[in-house]
Amino acid sequence: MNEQLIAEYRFTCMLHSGLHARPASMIAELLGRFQSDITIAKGSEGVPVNARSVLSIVGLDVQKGDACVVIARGIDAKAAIAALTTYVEKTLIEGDDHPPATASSAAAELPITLQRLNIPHHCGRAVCGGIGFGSAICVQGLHLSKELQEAKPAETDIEISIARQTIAAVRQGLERRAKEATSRIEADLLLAHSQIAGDPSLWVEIEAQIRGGKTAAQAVVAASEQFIGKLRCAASAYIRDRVVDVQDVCMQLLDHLTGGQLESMNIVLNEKSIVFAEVLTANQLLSMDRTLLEGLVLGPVGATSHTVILARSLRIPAVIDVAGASSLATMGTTVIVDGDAGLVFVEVTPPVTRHYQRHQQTQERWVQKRVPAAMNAAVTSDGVRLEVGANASLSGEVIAAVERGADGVGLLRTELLFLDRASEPTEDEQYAAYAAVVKAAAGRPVIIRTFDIGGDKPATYLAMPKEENPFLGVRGLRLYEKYPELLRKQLRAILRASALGPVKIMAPMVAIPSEAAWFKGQVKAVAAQLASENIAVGADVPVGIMIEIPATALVMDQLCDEVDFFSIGTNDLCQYWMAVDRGNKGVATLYNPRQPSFIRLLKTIVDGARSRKKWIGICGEMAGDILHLPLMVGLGFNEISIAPGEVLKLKTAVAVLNAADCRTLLDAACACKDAAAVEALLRTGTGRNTGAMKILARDMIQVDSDAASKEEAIKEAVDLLFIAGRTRDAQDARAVEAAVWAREATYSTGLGYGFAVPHCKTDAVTAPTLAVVKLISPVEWGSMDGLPVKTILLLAVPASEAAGGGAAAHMKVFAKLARRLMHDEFRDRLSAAADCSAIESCLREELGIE
Amino acid sequence: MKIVAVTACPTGIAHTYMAAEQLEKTAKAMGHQIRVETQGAMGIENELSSKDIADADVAIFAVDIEVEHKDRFAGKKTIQVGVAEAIKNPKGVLAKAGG
Repeated sequence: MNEQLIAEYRFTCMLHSGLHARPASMIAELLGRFQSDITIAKGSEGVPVNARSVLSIVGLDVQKGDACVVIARGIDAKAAIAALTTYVEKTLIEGDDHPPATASSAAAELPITLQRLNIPHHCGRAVCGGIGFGSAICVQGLHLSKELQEAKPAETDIEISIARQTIAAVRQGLERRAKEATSRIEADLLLAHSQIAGDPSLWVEIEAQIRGGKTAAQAVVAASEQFIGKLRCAASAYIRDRVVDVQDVCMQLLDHLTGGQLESMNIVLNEKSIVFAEVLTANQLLSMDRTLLEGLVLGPVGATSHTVILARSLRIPAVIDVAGASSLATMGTTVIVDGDAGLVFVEVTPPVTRHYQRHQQTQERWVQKRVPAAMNAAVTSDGVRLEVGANASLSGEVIAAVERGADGVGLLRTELLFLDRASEPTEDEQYAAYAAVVKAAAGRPVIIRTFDIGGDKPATYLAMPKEENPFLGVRGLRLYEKYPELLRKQLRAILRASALGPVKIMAPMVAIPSEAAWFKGQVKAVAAQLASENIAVGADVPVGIMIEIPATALVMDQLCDEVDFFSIGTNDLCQYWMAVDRGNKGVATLYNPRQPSFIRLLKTIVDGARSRKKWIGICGEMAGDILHLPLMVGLGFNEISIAPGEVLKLKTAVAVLNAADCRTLLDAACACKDAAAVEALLRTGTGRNTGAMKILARDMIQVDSDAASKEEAIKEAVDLLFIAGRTRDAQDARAVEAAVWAREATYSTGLGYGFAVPHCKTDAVTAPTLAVVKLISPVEWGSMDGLPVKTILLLAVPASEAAGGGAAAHMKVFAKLARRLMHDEFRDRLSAAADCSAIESCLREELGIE
Repeated sequence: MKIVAVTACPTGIAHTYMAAEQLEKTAKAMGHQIRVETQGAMGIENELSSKDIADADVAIFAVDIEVEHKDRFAGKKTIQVGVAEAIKNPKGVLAKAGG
């Protein structure tokens, strides 16, 4: 019998992020080549664990500076330790190219009110605006359907062999992907995942679970929960990454085990909730009670993913790309999501709550002010009507949009009925969905787009071949000839729904006139068939096409001969026009609908339709940006169709536009040399008729404000502008606030005697404005006389107007105000004025404002 | 005493005019003659003539930015203070100017 050899090695971990998944997998792999029994422990007192198990090593939670003790026992113990020594001393240190990302790097995004308070928060990418308060629900993504959860296992040996094969297959896949990976970090990560999948500790646990009477899938879930539980107990912040790694690997195992049909269980909400998840499918989102869903905090799901589109259409505040999203919060604790700024607060303190409660009140006042006007048609100051429709997928969204003034549904996406499911929807199922939307629209027109599957939206049951470049392949209408039954059923369902209200049918991805003609023929044939079956159908249902392929722009005359209407899908049109994948960061700057060539393209298309008196709308994201609204009016669209959440803002913004000015603006935009010049032009506010907005107005005066700090007081004053529509949107309101603070940074505007005159010049404000806020309790302002401030006079001027001298009359008012403030009698009179009307008349008289 | 002054602040919306008003108000109360040019968002207002400058005993610059056309004051006795100081303590500024 061979003598048992023992070798030992001690080292101090010098890696910035500790022994995280990649180095741990390297060590495990290296030691896996030896036969000896090898353990690793943290410090001499630590519990030794299997050094060939990535999960065990990671579970040690070794941080920078921690001592590690490795002991090998066996025939090749010395060789193993020698190899490890070389690796640790030569490679491990150089390989540490993965410094941890810290959330604090984006601290500038915190609301100004909270910036000085050192509030802990997490940052992500804001994809759906609004503020959500609720109880945290953490979704780990590893949930089996009820069916799979209750499934009875086959014979133990069979389940074990299934699990073994699955692990082998998943590892093979990971290693193949690692070879194809374009970066070393990506390749290392995939290899680390392969190591985790083949981890002996994981296998021991899976095998034990199967022997305990579970199926392979149930065993994977149980084992992953066990490991994730262990990793969570570790003190290190980097452990979150490990949780994601284990979860990721186990999800892949499950996905393989369930044949790509991993169905997550319903997520049950019992109170107002914020859902935290790495990934969340559209179906998972739809399965939740949306009256209780107040916000989403997700991992890297993609801003254009179905889940995000859906969240936006449901107006659920959402932040994505949040590191370690599913393990940020403790289940059941109160959290806040700021979907405007992309912030998540998992430790909610009173200042955060107070800030967001006040912020929400502002938002509500903004809404209340707009709803009555939004119920009327949107008309420019010179009498041009613009219909404002909503893009929707569900009847619930349509109801919400109509309540906010939508003139109809400019785009009903039907893919939700087709995607994320095992089989195609039946005609009746579709009819029920379309009928619900038509009813919800209550007499307003509904444009139903036939299914746009393919590209980034594959449907598993269609067995579509893998394409090298799906965006340029068989998608949208190009799929219809191959699946005539699928189209026929959908058209039957749509046409049946057209008996309930005005419906229009629109085809996606039309490139040439003959496709449009063919599509219209299909609709006619199905309508004739329904008529022969005595099934009611709306009279003369208009048939139109999406304009999303640049080729259509030059044959608009021919397309006008074939169809009744058009709607431009700018997202795809811009990608195809600029030859840019908008998800590709390397070329993202080109993907910009403000490119002058793109605006010229839109002009060609709209002119082509309008010259033949065809109705044309726009349903892409471009239309939802309020900065573009003057362009939309200038181009002469009949309609813009936007996310339900944007309807109120855009519809009520039309009235301050002048169509003639907008056309001049359009010409100027077409003449610009680049997108930045177009943006600058749009920011100057040309095309807006702000003459109606006087420098002083009753709604710019607020008395009895309970603002409790300089920050709150400034925000309150700026929010008066926001509510009254003197900033384009909430984002611009924040820009005004930032400009005021930038001025405040030079020296305080507290001029003494309890008065402050914060001010700014910025194009984020659309009209010269004097806003007055009187506080109940004075706040510290850093004033010249050191006294707190009770009366705030905010002066805001559009920068371009100030520079161009266009605001001379207004500037004179401000100059006069500044001078008058140096006189006791003026200040005393202003201080004595207790209500809005007294303040207003005082200012009018003293400053000579008419 | 005859005084000319220039006030100018970065945004040119408020403090330029406050400082001008304070200097005018205080100088008059102290029995001085004063003319104040403002260089604000509206450009130069109450522009000082070369005669105004020539006749003055002293020029006060209450500014946080560069005075425009500063060459007009070549050879003149000038004192320079921040805008805030002119607003806060106009008497002190005038005293410094020799008033």
